[in-house]
Amino acid sequence: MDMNLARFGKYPALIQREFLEHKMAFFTVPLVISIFIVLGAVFTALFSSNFMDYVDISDADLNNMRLEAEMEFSDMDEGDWAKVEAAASAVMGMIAAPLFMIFPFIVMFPLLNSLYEERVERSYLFWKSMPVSDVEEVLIKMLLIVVLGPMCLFAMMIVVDFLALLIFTPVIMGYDLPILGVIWSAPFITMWIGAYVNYLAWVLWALPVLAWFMLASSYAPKAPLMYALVPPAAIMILEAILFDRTILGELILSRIATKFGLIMEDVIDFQRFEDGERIASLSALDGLEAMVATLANPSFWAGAVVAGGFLAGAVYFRRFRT
Amino acid sequence: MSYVVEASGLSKSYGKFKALKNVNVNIERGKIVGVVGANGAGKSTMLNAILGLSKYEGSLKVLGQDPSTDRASLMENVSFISDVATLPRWMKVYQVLDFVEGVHNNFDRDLALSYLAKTKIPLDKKIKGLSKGMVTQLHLAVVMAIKADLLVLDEPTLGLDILFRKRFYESVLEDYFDHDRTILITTHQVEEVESILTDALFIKDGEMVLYNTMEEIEQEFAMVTVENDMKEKAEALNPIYSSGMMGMTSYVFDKANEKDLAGLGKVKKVGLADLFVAIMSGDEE
Repeated sequence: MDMNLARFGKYPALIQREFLEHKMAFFTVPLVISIFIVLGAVFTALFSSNFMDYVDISDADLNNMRLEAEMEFSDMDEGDWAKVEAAASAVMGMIAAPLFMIFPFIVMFPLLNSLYEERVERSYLFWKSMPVSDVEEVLIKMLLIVVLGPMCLFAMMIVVDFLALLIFTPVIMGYDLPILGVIWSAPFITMWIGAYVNYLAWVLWALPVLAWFMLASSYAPKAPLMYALVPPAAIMILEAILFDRTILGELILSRIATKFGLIMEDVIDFQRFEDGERIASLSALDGLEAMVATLANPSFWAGAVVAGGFLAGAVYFRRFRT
Repeated sequence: MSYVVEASGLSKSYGKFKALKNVNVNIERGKIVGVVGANGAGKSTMLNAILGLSKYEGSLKVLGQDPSTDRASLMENVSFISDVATLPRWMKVYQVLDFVEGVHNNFDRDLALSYLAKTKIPLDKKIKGLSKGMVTQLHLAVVMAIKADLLVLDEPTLGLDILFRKRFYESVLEDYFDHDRTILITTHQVEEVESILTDALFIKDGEMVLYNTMEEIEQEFAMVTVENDMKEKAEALNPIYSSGMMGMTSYVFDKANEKDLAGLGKVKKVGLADLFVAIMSGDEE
């Protein structure tokens, strides 16, 4: 092994193994989606560059439009330019959004399979012949699937946006509009890094749900998705029948959907560029602040205790379930 | 004396079924112990307890550690194959080597590669693309390349042809075993391992019914094949087992007088397989 990695002991090898095991979720599927997005961008760019061939417009009218646009741009102040930049960022957000949309599945399915597959194929006996404890195994799996694996996805979002910019640059140059500089300065890299940090802030809230998936993975004799969904669904139905409301459902929603929805809204928020507010407000700093605020919230700690209980259960089942 | 395995009152129950009943055994360093028993006798239950894979009752120390709480650190010095085909099917051969090299301080990659060089296993192929025999060969190569104090092999050669099995056991003896290492081995092909064993441990219905060195077994047990007219005399010496074939009857005796036996017919040493059948079906006689 690389000498620099050797000082981290067995952990690089464990992380590498987890990544290899979930390569399909964290690399292959996002890569295929990225290729489709980039191909889509190429076709759109080709169509846009020949757009004038399809519209019935005279050269004189076209020239007038161009002059009008130039005048509008020359009249723009700093605030207006900020709006253009925010709009560009929002478009960048839109372009890579399909990758963001698959996020819940990218995290959920590897979690559900993490301790289930090794039991089905009996490879847990091989893993247990290694000097790695069940606690280390469960925590490394959680860390890779929830924290490190998604990094790949965000990195791909940045690459996809960069490629889209490259593809559309000749089109914009063809129309001779003075917005190229602004668009290239759109902070899409910081935007996605910010989105990742905000995602981590979401993870803190969603920990009980994520740990529950891991627990389901550790005990399900088959179909771990069913074992993850049926017990809470049964409780919710019972609650609805008895009390006409479901506290568990509200709890789960508040912990996963609401916060995740907020991040999505921040990434693709058209209102923001209408208001001239930069999209980059979804910054890593915001995410860190959100994390600090979350850590100071007793409700987070209540969830962390529940998550800890679920993970302890997953460790127990991995240890003794054969 | 420090023992590699020290078990006292070792028991394991699955509900009302007692899979292991009060096993007391101390296994010394430098032994190759054959753990012999019928299907469901409790061999794997005992080995799983030793490897920290399952809960148990009683006291158990392996290399001085409690396997139920210290499995991870115990695995620094213990290697095992507890079932066939347990390598992860999605991994490539070289990735398995990378992983073990990354997590195990006592793994010798070059040694594993030298074992693999004697096989037809391609390094860049996924495990699921290998034949069952190749997967076992790979697993054995990995396990044998770990410099461990205790090696546990639970049916290690299942699914392998006789040539490979023979080569494997020769390799265990010549390349792996030394007097600082201990090997516990279970197999249904008792005759194939008999020559490399130093000790034999028989388990019957969850109970340890015999734990002796091979020399002790040779001295204690004897087999005599007698003509029909000698049957009465032979049975008077309380054989633990008898089986008839083609007009002759073979008897297995425990601690019988050598001179008495010599008068009955040809005295032979008892093979482990015969002793196994004798002890396992002894009560049914």
